[in-house]
Parts: sequence; structure tokens; C-alpha cells
Amino acid sequence: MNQGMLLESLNLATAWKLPLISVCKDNRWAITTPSPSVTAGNMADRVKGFGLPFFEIDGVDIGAVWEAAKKAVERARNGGGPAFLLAHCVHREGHFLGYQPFRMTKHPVKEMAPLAVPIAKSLLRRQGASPTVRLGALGDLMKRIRAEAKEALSPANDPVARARRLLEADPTRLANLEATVRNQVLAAVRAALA
Amino acid sequence: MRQMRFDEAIDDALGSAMERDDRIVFYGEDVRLIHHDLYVRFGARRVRDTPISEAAFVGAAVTASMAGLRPVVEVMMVDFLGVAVDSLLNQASKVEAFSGGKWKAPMVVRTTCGGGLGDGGQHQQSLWGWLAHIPGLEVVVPSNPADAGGFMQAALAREGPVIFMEPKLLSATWRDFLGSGGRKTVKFDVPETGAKGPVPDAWRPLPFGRAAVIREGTDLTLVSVGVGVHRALEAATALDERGIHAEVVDLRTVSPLDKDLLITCVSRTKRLLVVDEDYEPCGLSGELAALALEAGLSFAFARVCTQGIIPYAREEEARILPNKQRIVEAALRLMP
Repeated sequence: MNQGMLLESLNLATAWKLPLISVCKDNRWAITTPSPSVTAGNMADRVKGFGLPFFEIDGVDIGAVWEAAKKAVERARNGGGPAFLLAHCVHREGHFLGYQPFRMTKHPVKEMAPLAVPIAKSLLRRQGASPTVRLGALGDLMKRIRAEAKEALSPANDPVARARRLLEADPTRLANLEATVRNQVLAAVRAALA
Repeated sequence: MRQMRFDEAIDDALGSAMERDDRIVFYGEDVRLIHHDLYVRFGARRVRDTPISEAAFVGAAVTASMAGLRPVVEVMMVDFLGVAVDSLLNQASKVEAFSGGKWKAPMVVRTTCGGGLGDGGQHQQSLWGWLAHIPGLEVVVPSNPADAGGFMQAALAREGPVIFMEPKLLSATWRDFLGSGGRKTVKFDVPETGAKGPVPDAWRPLPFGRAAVIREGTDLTLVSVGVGVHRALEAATALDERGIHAEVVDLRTVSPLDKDLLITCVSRTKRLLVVDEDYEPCGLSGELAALALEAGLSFAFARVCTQGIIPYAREEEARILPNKQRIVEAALRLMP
């Protein structure tokens, strides 16, 4: 959301009525930085400023994403122009494979040990900021890692588990869906091996 | 002499400069977590996380440096510099010339480069040739901890923009941040002497444009920079066993280039083999050949560079990047 390219694209797509659907998966993290700490204003207001349809949805609710996307896609296909989906999401798996803050939460002793020595040195070095400022920085780092852990480890934040719980009320539909997915995966594997 | 890791040396040299000079500020994406030592030591005012807005924060470094600060701005990977390039190409590099010397942009862009981590061609480019092409930018690519710290201090003392490039394969911080601990299937071929080594007890700025002969040899001159220096050393050892004595030169700065040392070496060995982890066309390897030719030397030439787009698959990638085998083969072709 904070790349200039996005703002330019929203402007051009709206001015030219292009069939562009932008989806922001907002997990409130800019990699390891809490995005509210580096984001001005309100994202809804920012997008609405370009005068294009704006859908704000719960990104963990697959059904809600589908409903909003359907409206946006139909509108775009009918020449209605661009739309924007702001999906509030969670940071379940981090930014990439081997994401450091998650390793820290899962294996604190092993992963935090290499940090402890340089941080202790930084607290004790003669030259630098005041002790209050240094402790403030350390507190901020710890708070961040705890926040990441809480989000990643909460089972309520798994969108697939949530959709499955809903579908369990309709076992036939669930079985059909699972069979379809399995067949699609097998077909893709066969195609790749052919 | 102290022993330090490559990444530790850079932060240590930057930290000791920040102690003495309040004008130095450090900001970029996730710098507070990645450089937690500097954040805890210097606090929130001088070490600042940015939004993922390279164009804005590199641009802010240009104007902050013009207004009297000495910003060190971190662009996580040189591959991500693309969106911010106007600030360097048209502003920072030109402001001194076009203001008749009234304005200067003494800023350091700290960025990682290079491959060997299985992260593909959008996260592992070298691009120093692309940057060194622009007049008004200086480009540093250290290959060991002592150079890394010394050149960081030197970069902070320059009066214009410097691109300080850290080969991320040498940096334990970057290997770890990029998931080395979480990826059991990927092997990292880390050159030990580049990743850790002796550094001076007190940092002193190193001179730009002064290459170093790091291995003596009489039969051919291997010239490289960054991780390539270590690959060249591995190859030189292998060539020794065949009775071929290769000299290895570490350029250390790609802009300015040490033309004099290049000419001295090539006029002696009459064979130049450039090992460049950057792309082959229109780059550092061709530039070195041109400099030696312009000096009127007659010599045999070969180059081992990154060929084409770097693939994600780690084993494929190892074949594309300059490696010992390709360097040895190229060297043998140069010998009579």
C-alpha cells in the first residue's frame, strides 16, 4: 500500500476505466515492521480518494472474499472499471519460508541466543543513547516478537480450518469439494510428469 | 586485532561512526529488527523503520544529506532499488554538478547483493556494473570483514552518494533473516575467510579506488570483487596443482576502479581473467578489458560472469554463478 506504483496504478486504472481488481491482504505487518507505525491516514480513505468501488472484508472469511470478488469481477468484465478489495488478514506464516520472528517464537532459546550477546553489548557500550532510550528500543523489539507469536499460533486465525468448520454442517458438499480438489491436484501432477 | 563476522564488522564500524557524529542516521525497511544492536544502542530517533516505500525513503536520504545529515539508508536488496533509482540517477549523483558545488549529497545506500541462497533472480542480482555506470555514484563491494568495516567508515566520510554493497552470502545476519535456519534442503557455500576474519582494533577509513593483490602469481591475473574473489582464490589453488600460478586481485571498489594496479598486473602476466558475479554484457568485465586495451597492453582475455537470469533452484543457480570449475576451465583456455 505504501509503494508509489500502487497509487499511480489506481489513478490510471480509474481514469482509463480499466478492468483492474486490486486486493490488499492487510495483515498489519510490513515484513517485520508493524504497518500502522509507518502508514499515514486510513487505507479506506486513501483508496476512496481515487473514486473507485471499495470493498472492506474479513480476509479470513473465504465466503466473504468470494462474494466481494464476484461483484468486483462482474463489474470489471462488464466494462465498469476497477475495484479495490481491502481484506483484513493475519500473519500466520510470516513473510517467507524460515521467517525469523516465527523461529524465535517456536525455539526461543536457540533462536534468541545469538541476539542476546549483541543486544547486551549495545545496552552496556559507553557511547550511545540514554539508558531510557535504549531500554525503550529493547522493549519495542520484545513487544513485536510477542505480537507475531500470538497471531501465528492462534488456531482461530486459520482461514482453511474456519471454512472447514462451516462446511462440516454439509458433509456431502464437503466430500464433493475434497474430491474435486484431489482430482485437480492429481491432474496437475500427471500433466507435470507427462 | 579482533575477529569479527562480515555483518558484525559493518554494524560495528557504522556504530563507532555514529558515536562520534550525530549527523549519522540509519533507516530502512525492518532495520530495527535486522540491526537490533544499533537500534538498542542508538534508539528510535537515529535508527528508524520505514514503510515499504523505497522511492520515498531513498529520496528522503538525498534531501536529508543536502540539508546536513549523513543518512545511511538501507535498501534490503539491490534488486529492490529499481523503484528508487530516479533519486540516485537524476538527483543525488547530479546535484553537486548542477548546483555549481553549492549542494552535496553525502549519503550511503547500504544494500545487499549477490546469490548463493536459492532466492532467484529477483533477490540475488549484483548490479554493481549498472550502478557504477552512473557518473557521480561511487560503488563499494567488500569481500571480507576488515574491508567491510573500513569501507563503511570511508563511505561515511565521502562528500557524495556511495552505494555500499554487502554480498549477502558473507553476512550471517542476512543468511539468517532470509531463512537459512528454516530451510533444511538448501546448502550454502559460504567462503569462510569472507564471512569471518581479523579486523583492526580501531576502524580507519580505507581509500576508494585502491585494489589489492591478495594472492601473488605470475601466469595470469584473476580480477574479481565480493564473493567472486573467494571463488577466484579457490580456483587459483586448484590451478596451482596444475603448475599454473594465478594472481588474484580484489577490486574492492567498482567505482572508482583501480586502473593503475590493473595495468601493472596485466602488463606482467599478459593474461586477464575477470570473475564477475554481475551480468556479462556491458558490465565490469568488459570495462576492465577496455581499460587494459586503452593502456596499449596486449594480453589474452576471458571472463566468467553470471549468465542470464538466476534460477531459484539452488543447484541450477550454482552452475549459473561464477564457480571454481568455470574459472579453472576459463584459465586453462588462456594458457598456451
